[in-house]
Amino acid sequence: MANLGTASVGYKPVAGSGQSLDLVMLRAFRGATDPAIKLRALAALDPERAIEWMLASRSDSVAGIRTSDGAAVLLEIVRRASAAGDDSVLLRSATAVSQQPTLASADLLVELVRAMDRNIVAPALGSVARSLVAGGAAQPELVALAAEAAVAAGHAAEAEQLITQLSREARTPTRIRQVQQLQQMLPEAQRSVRIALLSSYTIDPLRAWLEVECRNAGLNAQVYVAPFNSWEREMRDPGSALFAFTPDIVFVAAAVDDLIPDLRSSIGQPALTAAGDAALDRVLSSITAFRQQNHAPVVVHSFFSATDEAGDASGSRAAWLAELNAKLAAGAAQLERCYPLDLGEVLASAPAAADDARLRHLARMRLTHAVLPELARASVRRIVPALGLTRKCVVLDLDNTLWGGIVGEVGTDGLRLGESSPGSEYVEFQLYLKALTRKGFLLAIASKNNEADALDALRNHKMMVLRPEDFVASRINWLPKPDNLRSIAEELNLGLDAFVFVDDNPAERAQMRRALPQVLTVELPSDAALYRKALEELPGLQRLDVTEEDGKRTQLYQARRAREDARAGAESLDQFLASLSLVARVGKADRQSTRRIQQLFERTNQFNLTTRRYDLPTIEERAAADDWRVYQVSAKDRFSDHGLVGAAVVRANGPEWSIENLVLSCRLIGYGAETALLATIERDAIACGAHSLCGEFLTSPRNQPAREFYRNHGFTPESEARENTRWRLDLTRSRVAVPQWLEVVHDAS
Amino acid sequence: MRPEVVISRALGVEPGAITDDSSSATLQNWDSMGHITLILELESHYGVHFSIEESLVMKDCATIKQLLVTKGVRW
Repeated sequence: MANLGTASVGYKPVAGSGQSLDLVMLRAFRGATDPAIKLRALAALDPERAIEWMLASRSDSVAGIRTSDGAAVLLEIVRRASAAGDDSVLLRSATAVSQQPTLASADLLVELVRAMDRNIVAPALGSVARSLVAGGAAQPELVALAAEAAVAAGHAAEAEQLITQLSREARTPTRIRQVQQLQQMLPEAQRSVRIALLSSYTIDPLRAWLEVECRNAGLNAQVYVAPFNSWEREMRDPGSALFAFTPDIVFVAAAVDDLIPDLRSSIGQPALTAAGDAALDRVLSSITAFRQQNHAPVVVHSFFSATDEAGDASGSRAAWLAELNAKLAAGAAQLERCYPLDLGEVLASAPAAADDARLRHLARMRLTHAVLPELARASVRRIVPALGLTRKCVVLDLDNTLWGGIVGEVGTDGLRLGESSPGSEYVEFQLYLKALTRKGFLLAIASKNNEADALDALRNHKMMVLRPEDFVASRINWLPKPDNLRSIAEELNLGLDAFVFVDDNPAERAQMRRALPQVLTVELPSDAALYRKALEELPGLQRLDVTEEDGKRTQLYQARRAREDARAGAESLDQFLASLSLVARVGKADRQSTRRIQQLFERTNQFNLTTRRYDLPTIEERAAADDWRVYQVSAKDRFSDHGLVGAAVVRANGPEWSIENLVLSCRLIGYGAETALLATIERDAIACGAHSLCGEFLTSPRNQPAREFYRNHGFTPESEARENTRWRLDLTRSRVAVPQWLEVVHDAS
Repeated sequence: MRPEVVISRALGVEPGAITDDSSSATLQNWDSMGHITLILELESHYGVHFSIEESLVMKDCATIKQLLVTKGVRW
């Protein structure tokens, strides 16, 4: 090969080029001493041979071609071959890149992807694309190729993240279809969700974006789009396709421009107010009618308008719309599980205007592709919490995540953290995290630092918003972060899928994604000013309802830790439990507690005997019915008052009482509250003349901690099936034993 | 990129399936939503704009190509 550079070269004529050009090139090739010029000439004469020369020259220092020259020449070769449709040269170039990745550039790969058959490109260039994308390349073609390669290599979490990145750039129906095709290569999502879209205008195009964004959030979406403008009929008629679809969540998008056609002309007060109230009533009364038959959560779009009063610069119509939306929100709050979605916010976050007059007339579309991605994301921020999939704990890195700079190097006083920039972006992020704790989220630390340095900053920096007591667990050490996260999960008794991991270091994120894919690892932007937004937009950090209990959660976990420390100090477990002065108060559900009970059934995954979920009306119904009982248990000890921590729904009629489900907050597992609950049910059953008490255990992926509940309380299995077992306690023979260290108080019923 | 390829991608069919005679009558995916997608894709790809009138007449591939030519698009 080496003699190519000096001796004569056999070449085939370049297709379509004149002989004279070949001759010029041939002279250039023979005359040149600079290998880069020689290579360029050869590339024009005989590209395939030039490629071979480049590959050979890697091991031949005499040829002396710099990598950057080689990459540039290869790009030229590919561009020319692409224009001429020379498949043979394209294939040879792709092979060369796969053999010698230093010849690859992002532009080159994009060119190859556009010019060649996907099936050929993907296997040859996938791994090159992956490393280019890991190095920051963001062209959609490359990201798609890298995602495909990651799937093929078995790195589903990396592929998911790349596909999410790709979907964020998608703005046209064709692009979103490509994303859907990529998502189909991913492993099937664990959870499905049935989404119904009801609208007064054409909303079908939202479907693809909704499916993509749901998959990004780990959900397999099935979307029902009601026939055009049938929303009122569908909600009011229990025989409609909407009811037959059995939705998990319903979106109602009634446009005020459809409800009040007169908005297109000058309508004027007071007709405007009256028309607005009538439109509002149509929407709210339809939802009310639906609610009487179906308990699926309903998300109602707020009103927006494409029209404006002709010649009116006073802004009165905007004021009217704002007032109408305030009434809509108030009305929705009166309805069970009905949540407004602020379209104004969605439209403001979109890069272009929602309304396209042409599409409005052609296809009755009121929301165009300029806003559909934002609308889909906002929708998923309702869907995830509505399904009870909200995460519970945010695990944070410290350096360059909570504050700017590395505390081990610059010390507490050298950190960027303060009221002005640089530093105010971190204060803002911390304020957001602090607000999360008031909504019931927990914070924890996983950071590679010397613990003393980090704690000094957390305790003593004047501008620090989050202090050590705001974190329920911390691992400040040099161990791998997945190990630390796992141990935090054990300490807090939470499943890995309850966690969000936030770290500015892409390598730490990649390691976490790979080791613990159940953890939601946030793709944090490199600009700290955008941290807050990245978290605010996470579907897993949304709550639809916040209870009083939520605001106290961090304190409860802090007390739990104090208790665990006491346990470590006690000589025996019984001694420790006795030292806690545990009191369990058991009673029937009352009006104040039904919402918290419903929330417990919805959010509890571990100590949940049958994983039957209930909506609020069912809980209220059963609490009032003669043949049902809904029990609640509250617990306190010398460290804290835990509040309402467990509940049970019991069918209470005849000689055999049956526990339909029983849940216990995972914070309290092992402290006897569940025993107090069961003992009270037993006492009531005996008082009512029942002979036996039954219950089922239905295995879920998460409820192992509750598996032996019935056995441990003296029940006998009626079947020996491993997965699902029915248990019975003969009340004429045995009793639930209440441990000595537990005081049970019965509320008067 | 040739209009046939843009059309095939917009409608989600194989590029080979598109000929001058292809129309909303011959292709199942060319329904009302497909038509909107097609208009948006052609506009974003070639940087042109179609009026309502034009949107209504562009029901087959040959007409689309003619319209693109009148708008100065070459491929």
